[in-house]
Formats: sequence, structure tokens, C-alpha cells
Amino acid sequence: MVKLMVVVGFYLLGFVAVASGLVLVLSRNLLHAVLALAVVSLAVAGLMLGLAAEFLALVLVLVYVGAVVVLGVFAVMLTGHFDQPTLPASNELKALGGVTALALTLLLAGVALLQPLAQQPSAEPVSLKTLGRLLLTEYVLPFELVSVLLLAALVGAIVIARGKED
Amino acid sequence: MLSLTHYLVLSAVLFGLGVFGVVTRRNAIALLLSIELIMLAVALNFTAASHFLGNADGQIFAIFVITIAAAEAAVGLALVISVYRNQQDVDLDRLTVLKG
Repeated sequence: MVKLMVVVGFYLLGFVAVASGLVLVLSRNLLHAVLALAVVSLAVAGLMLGLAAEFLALVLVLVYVGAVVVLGVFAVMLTGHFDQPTLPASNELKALGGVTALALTLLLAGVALLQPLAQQPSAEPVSLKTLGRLLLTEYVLPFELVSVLLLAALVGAIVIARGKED
Repeated sequence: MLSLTHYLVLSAVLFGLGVFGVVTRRNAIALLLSIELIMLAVALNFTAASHFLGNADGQIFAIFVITIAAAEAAVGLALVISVYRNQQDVDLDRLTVLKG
């Protein structure tokens, strides 16, 4: 029963993710694009639940829907004119970009299809305990580095967005 | 039954959509959102590999990818706001001040 739910959920959420991804890259209305990112994030979080990665799903919802999408809405608001139906959403590279993206997708999907990959999920799902232990032992240096990076990004974003004192 | 291939193909499609957005979008904010879509596809890829191979490293990498995506969004959108303040525009095809 749970397995069936995971399979149905995969196709449903996969469809939702691809459809709203299309909205994201094609929509003329910027606000629609930002909201489409929220939908994609929620769909991918649902897929991660199906992959027994509950912690990651939660982090994804918090960071993407809670932070990135809100930041995006703020940026749209501050830069104004988010709805310009007269202006095309894409530049003149549409055909070239389409071919590039399609070729890249086919390449990646082809590799995934041709390689003999694991058919069955591993019996033991990765527990949160394992993740925490790994982050504080084997990956402690990248963990600390990424926290410094976040601090730098925080300060940098404030400094850049604030502009000159006057 | 679902296999790792299903997830890899799905994330390849999402990745391709993101690349298309990065190449074609005219608005700087939409371009940043497309980059976020690429990062999302990569995180899904790592998580799926972690689940099917029974290796926790994939999830750790996904956590780092999400963190870096957040940092990139913060700095990127701050830059967009800064550029808008200087140029009153975020259309990448019209931002040609640096062009000789």
C-alpha cells in the first residue's frame, strides 16, 4: 500500500514539478514564476518524502518556500513592473537555448537509462542520527566552512542591497 | 516499481528546464530562480542516489547544495536590487553599461 502510494506520488509530483518548472522558465508574469518555484519546491519535497528523506524534505520547504521564494517576492516587489505582457519573457536565444537544454537533458537521462543502476532501494533508510553524526565527524570541516559562507552571504547581501550611505 | 533511473530522469528534466531558463530569461530575477531550479534538481538527484545506494553521503551533499542555494539567492537578489537602484531596470538584454 505504501509502495503504491510512493509510485503514484512519484508520477503525480513529477508531473506537477515539470509543469510548474515550465511555468517558471516561460511565464511572462514574474510573480507567477516565483510562485511556480514554490510549487516545484513543494513537489520535490514530496518526492524526497517518498525517498525516506524526511529531514531533507523539511529543510527544503523551510529554505526554498520559506526563504528563497519570499526573497524572490521581495525582489520582484522592489524592482517593480513584474507584469509586462508586451515584453517577451525570453531573449532571441530561445531556439539555441532550447536545443542546448534538450541535448543536456537527453544526455543526462540517456546515461541514467543506459547504466545498470540499483533497482531496489536499500533496506536501511538513512536515519537522522546518521546524518547528524556524519555532519559533526567526517564532514565537520565543510559544515563549518558552509556556516562561514552563510555568514558572509548574509553580511554581503545587506551591504550590497543597502547601497551607499546618504 | 520505481528505480533509481526514474528519479534520475526526472531530475535531468528539471535540470534541463533550469538550463533553458538560465539561457533564455531576460529578467535577472527569473534567471536567479532558474538557477534555484537547477540546484533543486541536483539536490533531488543526490537524495535519490543516497536512498537507492544506502549511502548517507548523498543526503549530506543535498544539505550543502540547499545551503549554498540559499546563500546564492540572498546575494544574487541583493545584487539585482542594487543594479535596479543604479539602472532602474533588471532586463539583462538592456543592461549594457559595461559594454565598450
